[in-house]
Amino acid sequence: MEVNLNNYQVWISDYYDGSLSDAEEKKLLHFLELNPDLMHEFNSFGRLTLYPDISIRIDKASLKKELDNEDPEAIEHCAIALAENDLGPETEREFSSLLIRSEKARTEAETYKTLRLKPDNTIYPDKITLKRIPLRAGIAKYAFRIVASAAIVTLLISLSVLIPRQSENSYTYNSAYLLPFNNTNNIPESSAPLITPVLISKRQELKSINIKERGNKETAADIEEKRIIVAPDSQAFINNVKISAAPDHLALLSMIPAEAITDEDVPTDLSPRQFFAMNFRKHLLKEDVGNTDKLKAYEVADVSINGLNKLLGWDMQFEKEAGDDGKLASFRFTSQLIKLDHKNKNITDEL
Amino acid sequence: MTLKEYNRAVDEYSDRVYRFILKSIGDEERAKDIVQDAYEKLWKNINGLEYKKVKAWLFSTSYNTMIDIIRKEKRMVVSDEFFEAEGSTEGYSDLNEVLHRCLEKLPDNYKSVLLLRDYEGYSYIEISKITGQTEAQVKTNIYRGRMAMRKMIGNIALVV
Repeated sequence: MEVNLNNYQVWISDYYDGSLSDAEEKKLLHFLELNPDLMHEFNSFGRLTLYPDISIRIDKASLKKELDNEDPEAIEHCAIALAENDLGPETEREFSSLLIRSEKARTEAETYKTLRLKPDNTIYPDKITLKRIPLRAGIAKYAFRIVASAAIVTLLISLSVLIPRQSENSYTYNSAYLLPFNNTNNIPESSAPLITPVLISKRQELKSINIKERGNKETAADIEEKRIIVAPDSQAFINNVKISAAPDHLALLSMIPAEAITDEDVPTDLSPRQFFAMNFRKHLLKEDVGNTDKLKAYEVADVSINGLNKLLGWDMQFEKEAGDDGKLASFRFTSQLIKLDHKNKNITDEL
Repeated sequence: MTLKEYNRAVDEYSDRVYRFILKSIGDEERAKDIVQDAYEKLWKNINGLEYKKVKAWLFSTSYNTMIDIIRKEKRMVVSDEFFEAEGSTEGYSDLNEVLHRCLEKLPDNYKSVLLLRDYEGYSYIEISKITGQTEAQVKTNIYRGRMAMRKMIGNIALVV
């Protein structure tokens, strides 16, 4: 860069700061020779430097600290520093000297040496829950199948316990849906919607149920002359009313969502395996109806774990993570006894 | 870090970390949660950590979680005020018990550094890395914490 009338002041400032190289200094001086009217500015710039007034002084002695018996703050500071092994060599010498002379300093030093916290016997109570169990690749696949198979058995047992049963006094009914016994062909038009009992099981002898005989005062007046027909241990669906008979032939009526029995998306002509898979997902996994793919081991495990939690009050957790393609990429199982983290694309094995 | 080393870290450090957090925060359930959380994070970072750095990592992670909790509850005490003497030290069987009783009353910023210093023997610079404070802050907090405890205890000769 060259010196010119636009930047010469910066050059002059740099000159006095000593930040110009020899060559740059020569350039600047040559420029000033060519522009003598700027020489005055150049010379006066040098006089703008501030120099300290060395006549101003402070009483250093008042600032200095010396270790003596009269300065408890300094003694305390040194006592802590000594306990912390934090004294510089010079201060340590001075303080050691003071310790010999001063009882007070010795007391302070001893006090701070004893002020050390010692850990007590507190231990982490659930250490086993923090640990991870080694899971070798390859074994994981088979271990998972074994767990899933065991889970199926557990599931079937737990389902029988978990499926809610209505107590005798808890059933609900809609009198419009009750049919007069032996009068199913004469349903009055006012009893809309038109209802027709559909018996699922025809293997057993049909039995008539007189609800009045249950002695339910609340409903007796309404159903005095009404009976329904349902087979023992079977269910009847009358539009959106589910009628099921318990082993003691008690007819239980309960409202169920209409879409649960009138879903047009439900595929027909399913194999038993597909039917089971579809209903498994629908009722236990609460997934969309229509997925008839074969059940995956992790789906069964998921349901089983939830069932066991409800059944036994446990707190096992089974978390699934989907990959970018929406498929299962990894799973994590956590319980009080065991933790498994597994990332493996092969875990979607079908049962 | 390997799985074996991870489990060794559980054996070797979980009690220490738990003790540190428990004494700092004074809440067993929270302390357990913080330790659990720290080890969950450790497991997730297992591939990126060397075993020799795990201890400091666990203390640092637990400390930061604890500070987050304390800040959320707005009960962080950073007062530099000193404390009145305990007055009575009766009922305590030894000095360590008295010291821990005093520790509970210290501000959080003193408590943690003192615990790391005394329990684990960490240097100022190590504590600085764990807590995120400057080395000078650590040193100041330790000094002030000691003085505060000293003031609370009063005449230590009576306790000893």
